[in-house]
Amino acid sequence: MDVNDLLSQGTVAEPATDATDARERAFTQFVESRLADHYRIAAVILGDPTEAQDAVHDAFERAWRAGQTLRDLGRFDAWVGRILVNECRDRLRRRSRRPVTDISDRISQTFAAPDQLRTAVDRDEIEGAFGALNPDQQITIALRFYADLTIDQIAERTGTPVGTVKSRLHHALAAMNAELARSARAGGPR
Amino acid sequence: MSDQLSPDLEARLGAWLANRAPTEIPASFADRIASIPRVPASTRRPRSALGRVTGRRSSALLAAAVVALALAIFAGGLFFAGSWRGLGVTSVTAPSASPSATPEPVTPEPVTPPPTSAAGWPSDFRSDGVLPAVLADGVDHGTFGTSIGRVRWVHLTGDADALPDPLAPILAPDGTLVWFAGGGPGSACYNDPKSAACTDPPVPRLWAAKDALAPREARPLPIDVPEASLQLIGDTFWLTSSDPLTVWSSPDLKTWEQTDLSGLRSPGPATIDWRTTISPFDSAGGSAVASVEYAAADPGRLLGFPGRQVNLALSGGGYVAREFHSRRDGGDKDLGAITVARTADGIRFLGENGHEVGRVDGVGQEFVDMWVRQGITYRQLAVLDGTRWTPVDLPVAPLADWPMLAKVGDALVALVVESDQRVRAWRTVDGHTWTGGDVLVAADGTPMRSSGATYRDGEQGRVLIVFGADDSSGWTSTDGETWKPASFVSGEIPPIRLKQGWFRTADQTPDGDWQASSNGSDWESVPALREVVRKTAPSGAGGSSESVVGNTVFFSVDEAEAPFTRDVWMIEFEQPAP
Repeated sequence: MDVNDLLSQGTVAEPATDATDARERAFTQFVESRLADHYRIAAVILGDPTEAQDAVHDAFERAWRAGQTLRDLGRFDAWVGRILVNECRDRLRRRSRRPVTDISDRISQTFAAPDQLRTAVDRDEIEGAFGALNPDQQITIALRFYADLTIDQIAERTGTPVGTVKSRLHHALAAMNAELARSARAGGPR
Repeated sequence: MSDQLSPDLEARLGAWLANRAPTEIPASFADRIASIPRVPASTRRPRSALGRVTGRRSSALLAAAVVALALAIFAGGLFFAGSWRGLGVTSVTAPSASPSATPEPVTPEPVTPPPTSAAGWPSDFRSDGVLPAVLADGVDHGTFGTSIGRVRWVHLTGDADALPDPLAPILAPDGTLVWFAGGGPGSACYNDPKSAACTDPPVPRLWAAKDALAPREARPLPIDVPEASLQLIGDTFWLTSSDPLTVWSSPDLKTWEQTDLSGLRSPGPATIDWRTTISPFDSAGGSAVASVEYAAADPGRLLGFPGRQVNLALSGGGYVAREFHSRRDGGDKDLGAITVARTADGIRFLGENGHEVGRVDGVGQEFVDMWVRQGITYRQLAVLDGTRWTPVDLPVAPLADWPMLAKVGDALVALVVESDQRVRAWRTVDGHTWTGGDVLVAADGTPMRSSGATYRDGEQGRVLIVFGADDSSGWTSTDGETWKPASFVSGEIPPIRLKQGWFRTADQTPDGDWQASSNGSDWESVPALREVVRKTAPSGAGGSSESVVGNTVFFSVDEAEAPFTRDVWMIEFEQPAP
């Protein structure tokens, strides 16, 4: 029995008096089975385990409070994932209030330069390049290269059109290449 | 800059990301989460991070939106935007008191419309017709003034679950809004092809509407394919499909003419089967110019693995045949060493037993280097002669960037950054004859060194930009021929370009202000926009998008949890005075 079955029991299959307990049991089992994955993806996106815990807490809490009104409980896990990604995005955007260099636009019209990432053997350089991305680009990179989601799955997870995901991925990779090239010229990450 | 990662670097990036993931789940954290159902919000333990604030769109979303935009409109509690629906709704319907289908509204934050302007829209408002001159009763709307002219706005809200995927409309010369609704991967109809929205009438469809709130009308399509792209270049519409590869042109979306692609040939070896894509770009001297890309259809065949996603890769100082696998499946797999042998005829690929597994005649080491770096891909330009496309092969170095194309006045300019960062520029006024091609030099006679090029539309018109190697300086040109040194502001985020000026959203400004500018450098606050556009990001799960159609900026915010609403704001700036 998977978590969705359990959740379904909580709102559909059991008597009203037992429904709350069933939901709590289902939620507990959901936490036990899925917390680690959600926590890790939040930590990858945010780069801060403590803040990731807060993000997961807020997302799970919102899911719990609003979950009883879900029209399709079978997608509970994906739904929580979307809430969590949005929570992470909000947090990244708050961070981005401090000055950062956004280079996505200036490379938007360029094509197929040398693959600077190939020479980026220093993880600090990758960290610098990743950090130069804007929140949506960071999320896209994390979902693609850590969670190994497809473009369609990323679109579903982030609630954005497929074309937008492709565009973000294109700009993110090109921006990372540009940042790594700049870092290489400067002798290290900025 | 490349938007591709080599398998090796993809692995490095993946490893770096994986290192950010905690290996253990702290018990206190697990307890904290598990206690959520039993701990009222008012008594739960304090958290360690900041409190919640409203999220904001990112600058990149804006940048992406300008290119590929996303807009979705829908029905609303007040008015039904039938024109935008992909659901077969083609008429105005009565307002609904409760647009959401959610039976039990729960979580707070019901969407409350902003104050409605009691006054109607000014009758002398200069509009390009994206918004109608007359609104139905009950439509939430208003007007206000800015330093770059008057603004009128409409706010719609409704149930996002009943709405189609975002669309990217085109403002036609006659003021009509048009868009192609397909059924290919990524579209709603790809996942649910039997839904009413996809069968009544069936997709694909070409739709047109006289404004953003008007009922839509179907227009004839010249070919029945699920995937295609619609472009407007000058006064000509272009419909391009990839499977089969076709390119159609139309002056009015009513009659279509198919163009002849038989003259296009890959610049690469003739013995390779190519997968071709073509993208009409712009016109010069009345001739359409397109970008064409040829990718090897089956590169694995050259290494003895036909039909598999196998490419040549570097490993341990030698070459290997590397098969693509997702990291979830364990990552790419090396299928064996490959020996690359250069002969008088070309390149031979030898397997581990020393036997030839593939060969390409007429090429040298540059072919191998290209394959390892970016796959077996060739590109060229093409110009339309009558109804026949003719290739234009600029003498671009094999490992150079593909040209950045820009229309400057009556000319098309192609800028190429080569692998050693030298820059070359070609120019044409008719699409057929391209001049230039010399290495661009700075004022002191030294070659420009660059990592990329782009262009911006400024107060003085279009400006070509070549970024210098130091990131903060470079060169600009207004004609692609003469260049002058320039410095750039690092971190500058381009604002939204309007006909009479520029516009910045709250997330584009340091203090979260909405601003307008007539010259792109002096900005004035537009506080009314903050009052009208009440939110720019969903409260929980969901998404947001923004786009510019004509002189109107669209914002849409979807809530993917109760009460499952979608909000759309249409902010139309008045046309400049004639």
